[in-house]
Amino acid sequence: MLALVLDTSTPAVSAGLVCGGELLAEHVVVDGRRHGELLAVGIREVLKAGTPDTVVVGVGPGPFTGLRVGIVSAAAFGSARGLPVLGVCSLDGLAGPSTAVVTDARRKEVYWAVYDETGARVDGPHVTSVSEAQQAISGRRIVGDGAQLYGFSTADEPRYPSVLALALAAQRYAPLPLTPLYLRRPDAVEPGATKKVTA
Amino acid sequence: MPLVLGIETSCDETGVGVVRDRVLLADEVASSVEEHARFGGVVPEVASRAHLEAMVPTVDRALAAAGVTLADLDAIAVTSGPGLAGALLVGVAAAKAYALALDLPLYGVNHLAAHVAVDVLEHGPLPEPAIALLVSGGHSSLLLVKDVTRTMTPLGQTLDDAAGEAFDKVARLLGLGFPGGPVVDRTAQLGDRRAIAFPRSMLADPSYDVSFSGLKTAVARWVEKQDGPIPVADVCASFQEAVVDVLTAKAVRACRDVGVGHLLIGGGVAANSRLRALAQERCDAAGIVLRVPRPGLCTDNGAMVAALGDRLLDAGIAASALDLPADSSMPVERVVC
Ligand SMILES: [Zn+2]
Repeated sequence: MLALVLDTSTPAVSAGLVCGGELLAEHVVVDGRRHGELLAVGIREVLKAGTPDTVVVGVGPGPFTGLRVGIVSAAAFGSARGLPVLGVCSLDGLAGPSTAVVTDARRKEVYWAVYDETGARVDGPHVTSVSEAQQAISGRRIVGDGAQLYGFSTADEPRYPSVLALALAAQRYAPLPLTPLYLRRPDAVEPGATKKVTA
Repeated sequence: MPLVLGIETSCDETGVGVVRDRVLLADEVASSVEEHARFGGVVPEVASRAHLEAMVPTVDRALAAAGVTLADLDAIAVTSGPGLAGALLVGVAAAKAYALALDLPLYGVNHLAAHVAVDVLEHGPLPEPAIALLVSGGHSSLLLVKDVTRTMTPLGQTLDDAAGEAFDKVARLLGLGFPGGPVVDRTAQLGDRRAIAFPRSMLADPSYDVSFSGLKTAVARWVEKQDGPIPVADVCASFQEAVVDVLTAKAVRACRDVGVGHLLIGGGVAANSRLRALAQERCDAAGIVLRVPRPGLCTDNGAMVAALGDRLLDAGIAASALDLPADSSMPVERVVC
């Protein structure tokens, strides 16, 4: 498998080219407001290292706007080249044996998942309050950009998913659909009743 | 002959069009309008979710309808602004990925210029300069079109609500549902447009700007004051008349002032039957040639983006860079990002 790997679930805009367990090229820029501008440039750069036969994309959880940039790019690229496109949980890109991954979901909530001693995901992904997450993950090594932000851990590396780990997750788990792991509903509120009129 | 794929995601329609040398080969639209209806307006997050789901399937449908494959394409064009930021982003990201995967030039284009360019598919090249009146739920602009492949000059715009927004708000006030344009138009046909004298804001103002928020308030006040049943058809007809009276008067005046002989009307509100009729009447009286694309090409669609892309390619305009942003407030002066 020579995989083009994309992830836009965090402020890191990541593209990589991974062959088996080997990273051939990587392009990562941390700028949470410019996913749409940066990702295609990253793809162009890593494509110089080879021609992919598979596309792997992190489908979150993470901020929706950025996430959609990665997913639609993967879907369109895969469709244009006739390649399979595999969705993976972005938290898996941060995972290791006996760890919990915690990333910032804003509004004082976190996305999190728990991994066993073999590095397999055994719980999550979830979005919950910080305190609920704390109860569920206590006693494990904690990584991810939510770890330091909410005082789970003083460790600040790794903060963002690695393309190599995401490529491995694509081999380990069944592919996820090419839809963001929203875990939340849109905020829109239906309006109240309008004044009744007759014709 | 160049073959161009156009992608449009600036609001609630995922549009994909295919154009070859000014000939429309396919125009596929996946609309999320029904998902917005219960909210009484377009919800950006709901629109963005729908664009993501619809993107690749709509491209596939458009290619199949056109009887071409991705390998046949010569360029990709995409709306890069103005519009809803999150919605634009989905189309722009998809367009970049297609362009990269297929090694094609990419044009990030202005949505308003695309509304102007689409008319070429029906009526042939637009004699320039011309005046364009673009009216929809998102825009109300009067533009001077010197060269749609290079730049347009804004003459006037709405100071508050877009024309289509005013239709939506009045429809909601009357309990007619969303979107308001088509239902108000239909209901108005049963009413008397002279029944109620609603205000013509900005009509006497020398600028080309318009304003609809006062009109919407006037309709609300009038409805509130009624004791008995509301004559909905008369309200619709009189409200609609006030909107199209101001729009057509200003558009015709702009043609006269600037000295151009062609007026083009586009945008979703251009599908309004009374706007079309009154514009025709006033253009005939003033000796102006009126051009209005058929309703399906007036609302947001991918064909208009492909049509503009086709003209840009034809005019030898340089393609956009791969880091082009989705620009929710892209100025009309800029046709290509
Ligand atoms: Zn429009």
